[in-house]
Order: sequence, then structure tokens, then C-alpha cells
Amino acid sequence: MKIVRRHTVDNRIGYETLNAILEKIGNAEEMNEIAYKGFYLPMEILLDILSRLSLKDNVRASSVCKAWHEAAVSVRRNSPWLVYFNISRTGHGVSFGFYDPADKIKTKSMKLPNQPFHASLCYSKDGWLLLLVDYHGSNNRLIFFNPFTRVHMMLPSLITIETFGADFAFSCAPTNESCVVCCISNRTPDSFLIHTWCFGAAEWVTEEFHKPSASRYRGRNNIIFSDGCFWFPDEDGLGVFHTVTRTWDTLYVPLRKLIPFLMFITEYKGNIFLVAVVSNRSQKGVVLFGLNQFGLVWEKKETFDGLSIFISDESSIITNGLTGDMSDIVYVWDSHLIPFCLSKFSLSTGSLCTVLDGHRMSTGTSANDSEEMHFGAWIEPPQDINIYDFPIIEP
Amino acid sequence: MSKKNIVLKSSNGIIFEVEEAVALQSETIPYMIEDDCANDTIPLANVTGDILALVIEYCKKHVVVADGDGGGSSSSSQEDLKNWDAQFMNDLDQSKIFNLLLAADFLNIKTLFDLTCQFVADTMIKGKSVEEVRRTLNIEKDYTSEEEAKARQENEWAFK
Repeated sequence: MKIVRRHTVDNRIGYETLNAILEKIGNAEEMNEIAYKGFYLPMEILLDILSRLSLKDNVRASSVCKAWHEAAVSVRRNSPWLVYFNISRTGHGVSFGFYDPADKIKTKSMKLPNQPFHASLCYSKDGWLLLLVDYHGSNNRLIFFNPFTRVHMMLPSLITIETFGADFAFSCAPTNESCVVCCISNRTPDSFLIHTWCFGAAEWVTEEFHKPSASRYRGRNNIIFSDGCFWFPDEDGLGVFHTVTRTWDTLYVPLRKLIPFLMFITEYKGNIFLVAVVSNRSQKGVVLFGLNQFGLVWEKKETFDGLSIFISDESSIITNGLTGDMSDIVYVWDSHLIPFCLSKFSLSTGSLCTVLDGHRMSTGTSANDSEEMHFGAWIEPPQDINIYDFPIIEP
Repeated sequence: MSKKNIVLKSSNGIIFEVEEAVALQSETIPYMIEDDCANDTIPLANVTGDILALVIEYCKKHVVVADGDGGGSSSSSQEDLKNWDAQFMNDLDQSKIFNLLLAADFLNIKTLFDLTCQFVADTMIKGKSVEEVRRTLNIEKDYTSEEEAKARQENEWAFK
């Protein structure tokens, strides 16, 4: 007889190894008796259970015993970084660097490959950036760029659109065969264009859609991808583009009595959330809502179970398991809020806790910072990369 | 068309005969069949009769729902299934829960494994103090009081 076992004996923790227990098992009564003597779950299962906890519960669980400490620490996640860009107005090209909000450390800036004259950031996801770059003497080109490996790939041209005011998003890393890029452009109060590019395609597909009712919201929108659809917020609700059926829906989900100064949508484990930055007598604050897809209402959330939200126009990342003062926090990178500064809001009080102005996203090397333009987005560094792998700007 | 049955034998010799579709929710059982583990009976040396009965009860419930709707089950049956799962877990004592978790892992039944892991996280760890977790799960403290105090101080906010 052969027994299929997926674990090795070494991985087991507790009073007795599972194998030792199994040897003793003769009948059900005996098994129950042994089970009561102690907790003997294999490490692999313990890790699975601990990864389902909020940071607060994770930290408490790490105090239970030494084996739990090791397990709980190993399932905690690293913070996303901000990737920042500087564009020289005097023709010195485009450079980029990283900022780690956990260690409050910024790297020196590095040149973009092929030295473009100008670049703008369209979207960031899964460790990749979508950039619209301008090389000398040629049209704007869309490229995927991985700032960690410096790999870049060029997309087919999308020259017919007004790139000013166009919003971009992509579903997953461009190395994945299911990758879809979506661009919404040429918006009028009652119509707009959607351009899509699928992995490996030679060109873009453009379709025009009409809104059921004219929208008054003229602000910029961030787009997210969830459950096979691109979603973006509107004054009256959410626009949803289904990538498989190539159809458009508007979900009417009004924000009652709330006129946000800025709003962003984000996604976590298939659920859609809305982060509204509100302004009250010059005091800024945040309110978090979860989408109830059955009732089509935004439900205000008083707590977020220790999760952390990192948001900007071009990126949104929700992370579980950050330590210290980084849980139940929203980090907002937005030039309309406080230019070139990172704002940190507490979800439990809804108020602004810090503006990280000591870390203005300038290069720190230029003699005249005002000659440079800055923008940035959140990005998840690969597990094996540390901020100290890059040259650091000393504070 | 007659349905093929599979015979499972628990570690304490109890025999269960189930429809193939019920048994094949386990990703381990097909390998045991292929490996010629048994000619007609599959012996499960890691699973006792009472736990195997629970596993089969769960698999039967889940195979019926997937079948009845021709693959795509409606949201109401999804809702029913969720309620059934919650009731199923609530009726179990702690020892049964852990043995069920080990059985789901060994038999590689993904949905049952997720259900039990989430149940353990939600009911035995979430929102509980360190002492409560130790007491509930009967885990011996292997930290000295000084080490424990230091760890708490580092992340004081989590213990409020």
C-alpha cells in the first residue's frame, strides 16, 4: 500500500509529529483523545491559516509561541514602493527612482533606457509600468517598462487618439498571455471611445460607446481591473467594460450627500472599494466605501481589518500584513492634493496623519528643482528586491 | 446510465461506498486509483471513520449542487451552500475540526480545506488575546516573560 504524503516530517510542529500520531491511531476514539492533547497542525497548514489574518491578529498570533512567531512573520507582506519620475525641462531627459514608505528611504534617480525626451506615466500594475514616451523626432510610443529588470516592450501605435485626457489601465503583467490594455479617450458628456490591445495582437481595437445619461463629472478617473472587467468611477456610479463580451455597463451607485475632493476606486479579493478624499474647512480626510454589488450601494467602512491602501491616479494596491503604523492606512499620491508630497491618512479616524514632505520627489541632485516635473505611481517590488539594492539618497 | 461507485476504507476499517463524482472531489483519490493502490477498495490510512463520514457528507452536498444546475449554480443555491457550510462547521467540536482539516489536506479537497482554514482563523484566532489563543488551541508558551514583554512593546498597538 502506498500513502500519498505532501509534507515532510521536518515541517511539523507541536508536541508530536503527525506521523507519530498516525502510528498510534487505531480507532476514532483514540484519535480524538490524541487531538485533545495538543495542537499539531503541519507548518504548511499553519501558514495558510495565519495568512488569512489581519496584521493586528498576525502580530498577536506571533506572540503565541516561537513556531507561530516564525510562521506569522513569514506571511507578512512588504510595502509597495512609489516609483517617481523626473522630466527635465531643459532637455536632460527622463529619470526615475523609488521611494519606500516603510523605511522612508528614497533611491537616487536612474535614466530610462533609450533616453526619451519626454515621458508620461499611464498605469502601474504587477511590477510593470505603462509609459507614453517621446523619442526625439518620432511620434509618442506606448511602452511597457519593468523598472526592476529594466526590460521594456513596445506596443503598437495608438496615434489616432487624443492622448491628453485619455485614461489607461492593464489587466496583469504584459508577460502574461491574458494581458489586456484598455484606454478610454475622446470623452464627451454622452460618448467616449474604448481602445483595447490584447497580448500578442498587432493592433488596437477601437469601439465607441454611448452613455445612457449625460454625465457631469469631468475629473480624471482611475481605472481598475477586477473579475474580467475594467471599472472606473463616475459621478453617478461605476462604468464597467467586460473584456470578453466587449460590452459596456453603467452601474448606478450614487455617493449620497458626499462631494469628494478626489475619488479613487480599488479592488481587493474581488471586492470593489471607493476611497473618497473629502475637504472640510481646509481639513482633508478620507472615507472608505465598499461596493455592495447586490444592493448597488456604497457601504461606508469604519475599519479595514488592518489592510493598507496605496493609491494614485495610475495605480492602486491593497496590502495585507504590513507592520507597525502602516495598517488601516491610506497613502495617497496625488498632485492635486499636495503637490509632490505623499499624504498618509488613518482609516480609523479618517483624518490626515502625516504629509511626508521631507521626501519631496525631486532628484535632490538638480541645482534647480523648479525646472523638473515630477510624477509617480505605486508599484510592488519583487520579493527578492530590497531598497538597499539601489543607490540611496542620504537624508 | 449506471453510475460507477468507489469503495473507501477508513483507518479503523469502516467501509464507505460512494458515487465516483463524490469521491473525485478529492484530488488525491485519482492518484490512488491510478497507482493501483487497491483493486476494489481504497484504504485511507490517515482518516478515521467518523472523519471520513464528515468528508463524504460535505462532498455529497457539494456534488449535488454543482450537478443540479448543469454546471453553473445560481446565486440562491450558492447562498444555500454557504449557509449549509456554516452550519456544517458550527456543529463540529474542535477535535473534529482539526482532524477534518488534516483529512481535507491529505485528500486534497480544496474547497473543504479553505472552509476549515477560514473557520479556524475566524473562530479560534481572530480578535482573541494571546492567552485565549493558547488556551483554545492548548499551545504551551515557550517564551520567557521578558521575551514576551519585549515583543509586545515593539508592536504595542496590536495588543490594545
